[in-house]
Amino acid sequence: MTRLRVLAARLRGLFAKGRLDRELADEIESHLALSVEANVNRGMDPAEARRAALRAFGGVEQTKEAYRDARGLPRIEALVQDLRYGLRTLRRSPGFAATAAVSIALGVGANTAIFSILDKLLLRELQVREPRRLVRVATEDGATAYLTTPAWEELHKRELFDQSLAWAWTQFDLSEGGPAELVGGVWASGGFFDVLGVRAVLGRTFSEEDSKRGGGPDGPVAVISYRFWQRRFGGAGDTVGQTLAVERVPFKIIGVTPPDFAGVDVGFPFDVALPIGVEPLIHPSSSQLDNPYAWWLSVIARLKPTQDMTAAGAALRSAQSQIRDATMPGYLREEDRKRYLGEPLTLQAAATGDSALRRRYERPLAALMAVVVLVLLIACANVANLMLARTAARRHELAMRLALGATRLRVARQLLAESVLLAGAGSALGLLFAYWGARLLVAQFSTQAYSVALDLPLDWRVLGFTAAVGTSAVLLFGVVPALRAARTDPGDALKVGVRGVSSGHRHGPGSALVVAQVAVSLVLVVVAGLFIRTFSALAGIDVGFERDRVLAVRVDAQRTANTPPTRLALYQRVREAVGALPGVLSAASSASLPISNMALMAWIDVPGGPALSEPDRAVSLNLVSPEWFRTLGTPLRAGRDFDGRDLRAVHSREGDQVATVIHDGNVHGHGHSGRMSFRRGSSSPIRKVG
Amino acid sequence: VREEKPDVLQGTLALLVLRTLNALGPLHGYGIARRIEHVSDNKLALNQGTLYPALLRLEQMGWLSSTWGISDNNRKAKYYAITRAGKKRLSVEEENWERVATIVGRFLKLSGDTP
Repeated sequence: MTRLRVLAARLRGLFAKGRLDRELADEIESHLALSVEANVNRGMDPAEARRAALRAFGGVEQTKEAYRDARGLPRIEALVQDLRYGLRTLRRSPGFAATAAVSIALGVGANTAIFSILDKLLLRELQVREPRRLVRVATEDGATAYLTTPAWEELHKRELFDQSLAWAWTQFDLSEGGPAELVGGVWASGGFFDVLGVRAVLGRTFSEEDSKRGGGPDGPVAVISYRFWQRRFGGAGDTVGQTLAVERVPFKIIGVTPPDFAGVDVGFPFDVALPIGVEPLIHPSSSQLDNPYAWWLSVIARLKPTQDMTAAGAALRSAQSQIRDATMPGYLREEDRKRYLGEPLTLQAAATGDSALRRRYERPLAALMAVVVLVLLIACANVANLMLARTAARRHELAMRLALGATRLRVARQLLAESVLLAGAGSALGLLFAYWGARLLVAQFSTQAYSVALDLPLDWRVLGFTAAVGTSAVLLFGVVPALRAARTDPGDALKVGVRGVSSGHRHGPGSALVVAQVAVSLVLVVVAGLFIRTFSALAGIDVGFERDRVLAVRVDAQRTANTPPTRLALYQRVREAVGALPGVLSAASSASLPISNMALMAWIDVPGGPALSEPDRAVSLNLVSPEWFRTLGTPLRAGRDFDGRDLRAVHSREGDQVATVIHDGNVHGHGHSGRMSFRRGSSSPIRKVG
Repeated sequence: VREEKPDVLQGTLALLVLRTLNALGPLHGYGIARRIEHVSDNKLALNQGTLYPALLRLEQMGWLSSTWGISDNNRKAKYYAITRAGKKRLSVEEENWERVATIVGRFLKLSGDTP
């Protein structure tokens, strides 16, 4: 108690030191006056009385000094003094200060920027109940295992885990006509929010009832995110109960999730969640819900209290063949069935959720982190060198201070204070760089189809990291110059001409720093060179089409009111309209774009040809319109491009013959002209035209 | 030959100050110093100046309070008074001192090489 009171009194003393000092001076004066008066009364002459009074008092200056030490917090005052002196010194050499601070700002900023992304994407746990007990169902190599709805239902009813949920990320169009208004969405099993332990801040979350086919007692319902609630409804209290048109189907809003929950897919937050059971309402003609071929659901489970990951994984593997057997898609051939039953499912920790973005950027980010640490090292070495040069130039001043009685510790502290100031200014500036840089970098993650949203708050984790980086920067660049300064010979103050000459320690820490700096820089230059080489190699690669003259537009007719039979006509109208634009040479459409990394898979047989091995039978398939190859500028080795005749063939399905063009990588394998049979479910013969 | 005066022991100054103020009521620094010298019959060497940091510390502990006032001979002076917490502290300090004094006294009474 008493200690606290003393501390409080001393803190007050820290801010009232001027007044306290004046009061002490007054008090001493009145003390001496009283003392002199008493002495005079005892018969001394005034001069003698004053001398006696001073003698009895002891040292006036010592008293003031002792009083000052007792008054405030002397250590803190000395620190403040060091910092203020450091500030004055730095202000006298603004060029040096600016160079050093910007160097550090770049180093710290790069580190903070990369760390804030790394932290958000890789390290941060989901804001849910006991995230460490969550696991996700994955394939053997750790990638997410997608399940069909029947397979998920089989898995769910076996109760292998404490609880489990299924989800799928998607985009929903909320427009009621006019331009599409796409928001991040999630298909959620009934227990999605309960399993995660996420409670609604308003209304309620889904129950198992809500996920029944076609909706529960409340009909089709939706849960919205806090972010969306704020954006779209302005956080209105009567939002629950309102109707939201999702893909032009009315859904009743039943709840809002907490602000810190953005779904389980880091990087792709959800705005609207719908129960998986109502999926056919949105895709009446192409529902995935009960399609035995639609592998669309990811599964996250919560382990039982007594269960560890190994036991849970074993339980899953022992049940998987039954699950798959019960939900076998009809068309698979015998060999594929065996493989499908055998491929093991595994469990992966899911405390940090499941993120496609993470899988893609995990390694590049780690590499970038290593690079920015090197950049920081270089910046520190740079500043350390500048400081050393300055110390040498200030030799005279430092020697003078030592000669006047400053302790070596005090001189070292003085220089360290300057380093702390530089690092502080650099870190603050670096935070600005980071704030701006991290957002720029995240914007680069977004593709034309999906925008990535990682909100990167400057919270205590990031600030703590910055502080740690700043502190280590001080240790890296501040300590050596400080020690060096403390070693200054006070005799140098007397020597004429030592100003600015770094006598003696020619091969001291300075040259070691330069060596280290050059070495690290070389590593960085080599790394950068490799990056650039890879990039230019990618830029120069022959992608098989004229990339300079081709524009691509994504048209999503699934989201329009068209029924599938009319879509083909719609695409044709779009194609004709685009082709008629001035400046457009030709227009074509396809199911997927070249180098989009997306393709349909199919298995082929060559009638009359040799039997093909399994990998050879699998081909990537694209569905394209007439003139597709001409539009892309892809030369054909042999045969012809598709034209209107083929289109008519598709329309009328005359003789079930569809023309096909084969990439020449395949032609080498089985270069027969004429017929190939193509099967997906039912086999349909295809005639090769090029 | 000058008489050798013992220094005021570290920590006993607080006791002397509290005791003085408890007995005489509010006093200024000079008055406290004179009183201590007077009671000790000028046998204690007290640098009057050392009183002031001690007074500050006692005030920080909450055992003293201070106000500016006018002295008997019309001079502005700072007057110190003991607080209730200071009185409590005084009895603790007195007890401590007596205990230590008794123990040290016992050592001094012991003769020869077997303390």
